[in-house]
Amino acid sequence: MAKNDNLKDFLTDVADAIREKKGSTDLINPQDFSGEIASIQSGGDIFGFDTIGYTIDNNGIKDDIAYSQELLRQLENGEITTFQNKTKMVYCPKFDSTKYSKFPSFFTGCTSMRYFPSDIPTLHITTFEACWQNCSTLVELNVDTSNATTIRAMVALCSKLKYVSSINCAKCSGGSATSQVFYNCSSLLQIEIFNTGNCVNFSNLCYGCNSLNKLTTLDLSSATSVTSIFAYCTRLAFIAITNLGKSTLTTYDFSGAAVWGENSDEIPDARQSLIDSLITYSYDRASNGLATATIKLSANTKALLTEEEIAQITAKGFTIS
Amino acid sequence: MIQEEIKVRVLIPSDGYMLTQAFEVEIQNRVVSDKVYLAVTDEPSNWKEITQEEADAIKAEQERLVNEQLKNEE
Repeated sequence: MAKNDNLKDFLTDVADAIREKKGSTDLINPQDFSGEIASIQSGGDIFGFDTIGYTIDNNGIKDDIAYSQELLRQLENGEITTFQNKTKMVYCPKFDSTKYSKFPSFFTGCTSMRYFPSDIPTLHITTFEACWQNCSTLVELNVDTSNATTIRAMVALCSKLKYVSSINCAKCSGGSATSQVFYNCSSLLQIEIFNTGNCVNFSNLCYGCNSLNKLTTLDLSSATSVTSIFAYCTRLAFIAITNLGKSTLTTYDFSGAAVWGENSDEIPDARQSLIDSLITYSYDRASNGLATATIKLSANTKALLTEEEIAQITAKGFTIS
Repeated sequence: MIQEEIKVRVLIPSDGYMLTQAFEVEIQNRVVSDKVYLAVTDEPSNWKEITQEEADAIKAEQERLVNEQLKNEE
């Protein structure tokens, strides 16, 4: 492409770029540029994904798409049963997910995959165990877990994952169904998880999520394990918990959330989440005749509580350590 | 109007010591702390002092168990 020394060169360059993309030699009036550009179909649309997060390189995309096409052919022919450990697959092809009911480790180890097409149906999938584990370049994930019975380690070790859609845990009541889900997702900023009232195992749920600053809303009604749930969550300021203390569990170690309750411009309601979780929406163990439960908080978080608030928490049957 | 004054009992260990539960508890649930605010249902006798070295050993064992669990489940 020539350098754009003047308006004519610039307009010619734009027209040439459009013609190259469309495989045309037709003349294009500048007033038609916007319509012509809008009508160009991006390579990604072939597979139903958009280009969020990609740096587009035409040759690179062509090669990657060819590889994805080959993998899709292999999957459809039964030569492969999953995309597991397809380390060179950048673009997940739009495959027919309705042929599957479970996705255990389906994309595990796809270390080059950056995006999972949001229009691939997942509502019918019942198992997402380790589905995207170690997809270390995955940036964004939209998934419907409404019918999943396990999401254990679903996106564990996805170190570039910044956004994940709301996670519905309505049917995840099994043993380890909700453990390690976001383990070491070190770029993840926020998590919205809901319907966890029947979930029992939250161990290592957010272990190592050291960019995470907000988590809503964790119903701990049935929790039997929260071991290392927030270990190394060094920026987690907002945690919304309901029914803390309602289950038989008697130790809640939340000390890994080092700044829980610390307000900032970004999270102005962090302290309110602390008060709501420990006082407003916690279970009154003392009134209901349950044994003492101990809540372990970081030194920073403990320092945010007033004497009156500590009295309210201890009055509900919680020891604070 | 009823005015109720709620007192909170606070346990602070001696210099060089930490607090932990006085009763048997699984290592993952053992608490080590330099200050404890007791629940109205809790008693000081449920807590005891341990040395800093003992506290460090408990924390190291807890960390080891977590890492072992993560390794086994990967």
